[in-house]
Amino acid sequence: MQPLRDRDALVAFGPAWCLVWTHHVRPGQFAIWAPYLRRSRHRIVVMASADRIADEVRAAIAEMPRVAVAEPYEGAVQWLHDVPGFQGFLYVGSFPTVAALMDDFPLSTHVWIGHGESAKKANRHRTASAFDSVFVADYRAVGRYPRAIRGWLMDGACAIGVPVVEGLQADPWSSPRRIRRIVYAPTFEGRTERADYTSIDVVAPALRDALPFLTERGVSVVVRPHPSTGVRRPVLREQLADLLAAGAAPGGDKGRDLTAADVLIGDVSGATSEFLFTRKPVLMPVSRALLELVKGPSRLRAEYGWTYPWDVERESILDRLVALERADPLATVRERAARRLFRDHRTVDDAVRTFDLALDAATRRSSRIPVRIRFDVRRWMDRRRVSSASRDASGGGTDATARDAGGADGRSRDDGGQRGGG
Amino acid sequence: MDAAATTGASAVADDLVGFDPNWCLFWGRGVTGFHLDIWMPYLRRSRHRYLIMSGEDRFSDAVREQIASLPNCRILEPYAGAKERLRSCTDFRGFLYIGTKEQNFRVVNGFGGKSHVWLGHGESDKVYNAFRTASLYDSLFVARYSVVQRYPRAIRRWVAAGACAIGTPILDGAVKDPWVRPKPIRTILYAPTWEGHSARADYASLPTVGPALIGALPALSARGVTVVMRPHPTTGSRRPELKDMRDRIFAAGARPGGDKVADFSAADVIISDISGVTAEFLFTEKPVIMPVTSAMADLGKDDGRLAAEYPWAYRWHVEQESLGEVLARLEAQDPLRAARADAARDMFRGHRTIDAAVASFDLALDCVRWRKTRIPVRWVYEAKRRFPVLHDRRIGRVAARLVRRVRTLVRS
Repeated sequence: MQPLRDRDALVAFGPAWCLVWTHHVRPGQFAIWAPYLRRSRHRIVVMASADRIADEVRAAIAEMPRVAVAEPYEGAVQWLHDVPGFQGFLYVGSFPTVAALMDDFPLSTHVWIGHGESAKKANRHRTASAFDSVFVADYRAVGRYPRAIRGWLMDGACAIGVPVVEGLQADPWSSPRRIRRIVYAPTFEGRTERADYTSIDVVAPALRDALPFLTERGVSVVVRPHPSTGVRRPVLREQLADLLAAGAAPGGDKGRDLTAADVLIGDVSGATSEFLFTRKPVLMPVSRALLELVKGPSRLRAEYGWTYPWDVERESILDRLVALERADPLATVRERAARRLFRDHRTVDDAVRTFDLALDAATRRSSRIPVRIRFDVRRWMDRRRVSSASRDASGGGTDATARDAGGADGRSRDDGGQRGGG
Repeated sequence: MDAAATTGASAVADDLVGFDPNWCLFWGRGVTGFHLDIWMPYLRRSRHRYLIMSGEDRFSDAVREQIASLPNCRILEPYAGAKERLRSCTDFRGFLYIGTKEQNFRVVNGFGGKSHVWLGHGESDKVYNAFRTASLYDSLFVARYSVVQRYPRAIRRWVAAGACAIGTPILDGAVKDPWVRPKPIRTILYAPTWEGHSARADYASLPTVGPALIGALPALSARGVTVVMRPHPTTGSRRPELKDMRDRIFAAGARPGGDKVADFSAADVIISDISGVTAEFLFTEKPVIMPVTSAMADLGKDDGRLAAEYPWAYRWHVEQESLGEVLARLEAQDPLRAARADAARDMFRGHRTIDAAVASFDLALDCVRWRKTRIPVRWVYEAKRRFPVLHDRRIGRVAARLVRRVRTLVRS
């Protein structure tokens, strides 16, 4: 849809939701939700408080039939008051402008959808209690939040799974295999030291030194840094430039890069969880600084038990890869984690159905029935309906049907575990 | 300005750990003097130590002097640098917020493990006392529990579980002086509120009451009635024409207010809006006249709503009757006297002295940490308030042990 620049156009479009960014739309964050916006049955407007929306984001939105940019921000916020059926706001980050919108729209629904599943500080913010609902990958994520707000969040949480990357394919290692391609996807250094989860300081030099040997073995390295890398610590950009100069290749399309990779080297970051969809192995660089940030190795194990910790200073990447080519003891753990964290979604379409159901449920925070219960019951019914429809269509017994049925069972088991964990 | 006082007040930034604060009063922008005035008697008598912090490091000289006079309060500045040092204070429990500025959001996010309490700045039915972001705070200190119903339904359960009814803040020096029988009115206090940050929060009666008062002033003066006007300090900041109206009322013979306690004491009756000052005046139990206008009805504060929220106030339909008629009726009979006494007991939670109110305030601050448990803060606060024996730490320890044992049993 083309941008909506006056009240009448906005009212005629009739958005149900407004996806809002403070200051500017971050293209990386937008890309996470773009597949969902494209497929959602809801009408959604995208806004940024400083009206800064990159051309690539505008181009992507222009092709989406039920999504439009609304601007200017100040005017559009006021026009939203006049839209019949407007449900509320979706927030990707937690910034002070969020508070102004909440107080301006006290009866609307305010949902925090975040920008990727990880154990970062950004995914356990104290301000989560201000939202009617927080969308999480699975209910265990609620356990990360400050204890004071956990009960309240649990009532409003909707586990919609980790956002699925467009075009990404599951490709589990059924048996150990030769590693030909590594993707290194480090996160950025955060806005403060207390949110600095990046491994670039240690991994970039180690990979640079190992590159000649990797190349000799026929292993290529693709680097996909977080788009904000180097904003607070420019030295990180230099380290990445050195790595690229030594022969690593820059990343391109995310779905293709991750599908082509045999192994991911990923930090505590949304990219690591996204890659889990492929079921392929993940190496997580572990340093003392990281352990302090995540409050100890046991906490890291609990969050990322499906990754191989890599002590960069003690172990070379070559040794790590050779060990992994020989044996992959975490294959089943990854499979289980993927089912749990992606809530049995096998496709983006599947994930978007869940997302839409969660949006429907979130609007009922004022009811005595917790949003979570409402959402899970409706999802269970929806998946049963889809499952039986696909059984009917295929005459019963296709792989897809069996998988769906398995998904339903698996979900029940998951829920039991999540209740315990939560 | 008293330089020594200022130095003493802000030197804490260098000796923060030594001062060992318990709580930090936070203003999003500058510290508003008249908001601080509301809580000054509480800070002075509280057994806790407080820091005063402003998101923009704006403290007027008067505010600095006031804070310097309190041994248990210090200014913390500069905001950007000193805030982080709060993490090294071992007995620091959290933040108290007076307003709902966006900067609160940043502080709450930055100190996720601490307690966050919304104190507000006066009890009233304004939209500022029913804000959607109330669920950001661990606890809201309210006058009485029924005000929780004002909040959006979606967050009402959260607010109710964390609310502590500490009563309307008491004005230091205000005394109870109920009308035991109808009496002639000699002094009227007119205390209109301001026009709010937006039209949605514009409860000011000045545009309608102003002309009526100007018209009535000659007759009132002739009868020997004095009108004292205490407009809200920020009147006219969004609508400058209200300043003109204020000045016209003064020009017509109204006297400007001075010391708030003296004004309250001298007044026989107050004319006031939906505003904190109306609730404060209730402490005296003298009659309150509340203007009812069509502008207020447009905001949802029509006659019915006012009757429900302020059943102890006489409603004056400014567009339908003159002030003289209302006063004459009131001089003849005061049917709301008992209702005012009941409301005062309820709104001030039985506090008849500041010391009693501060004891409730301190107790509520102690209870906020219970938010981290499954037991609602409100229950703990009310239990401790009614059964002072629960203050005993030994009993607290036994209770905690009991809770742990029950929890273990439930789990097993």
